[in-house]
Amino acid sequence: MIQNTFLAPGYDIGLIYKFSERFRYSLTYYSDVDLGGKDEVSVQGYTPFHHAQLPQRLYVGSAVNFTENWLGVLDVGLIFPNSGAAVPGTDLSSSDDPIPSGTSYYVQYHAGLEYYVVPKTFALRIGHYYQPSRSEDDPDRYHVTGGLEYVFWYIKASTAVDYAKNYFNFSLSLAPSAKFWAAGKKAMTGKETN
Amino acid sequence: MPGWWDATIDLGFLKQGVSGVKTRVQAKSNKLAYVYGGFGFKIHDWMDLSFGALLYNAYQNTSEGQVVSNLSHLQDTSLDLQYDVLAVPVSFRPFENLLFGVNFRLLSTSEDFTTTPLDGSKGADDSKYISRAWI
Repeated sequence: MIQNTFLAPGYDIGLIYKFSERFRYSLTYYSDVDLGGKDEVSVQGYTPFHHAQLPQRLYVGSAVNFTENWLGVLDVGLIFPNSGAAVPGTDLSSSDDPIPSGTSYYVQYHAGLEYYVVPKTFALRIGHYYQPSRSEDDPDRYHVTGGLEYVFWYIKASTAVDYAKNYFNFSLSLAPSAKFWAAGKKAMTGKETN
Repeated sequence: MPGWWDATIDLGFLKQGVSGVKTRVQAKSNKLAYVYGGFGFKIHDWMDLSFGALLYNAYQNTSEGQVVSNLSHLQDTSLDLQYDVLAVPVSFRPFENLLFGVNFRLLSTSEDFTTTPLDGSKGADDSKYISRAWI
């Protein structure tokens, strides 16, 4: 197996502004990252990347606590064009006929709702996001997401699904709960935390 | 329809940003995919500094068959085609209601997935999975 690994630096910059107990706003910028060069990225005669580049992205987000139990979020992102990005044609054995990719600006959005059935213990989530295609011959994708989270003792367990046409993903997560972190800090510093 | 799954376990000692250690283990489709580790400091009441690093990455340590399986998951997850090797997030709180953060990252991507069809099968449509990426 031939393997090449590319390394490249990048950075993100973000702001979160808490306007009030009910409203929060965010602004996040992701730099572009150039992960691969042009035609020198070739494996066994096949050129998978004509130019692998993560584009610049800018996101504006907001979160609203409608009530103590209900939270709503909305994020809108602007994805910048790539310079000279392209993907191969439909024949994977050939590097001919690359298809331009990321030639213009794209807008992405995500909306979600969270409901705490039991405050700080059991939450239900549902959401939707739009994934624009970066390539002319590939359709846009509309995702529906859902999940739940349960906190017991020192553990926070959550699960989530992400569904779209020709796509499905399921995730499980186990993590220390806020109670665990508070206990750890108290043990180390003797101070109580919220 | 593809039906891959992720499982994530976060382990840590003290909250990140209060001088602690944090590790993330993530598995994909029955395979350990990668392990992240990191630690953080609270420099001031208004400034946190953390370091994170990729400790283990299955994509670089598998046979070709396993790569196909791993990539079956990756085919539709554009940002998973690349991953952070190193991350240094720094956050400031200049005002009580304002949080400002900068995250410096070293990213990597591997060419492995291009040597085999992305869903483990043969077919001309495989290339569409590549085009879903940010390339």
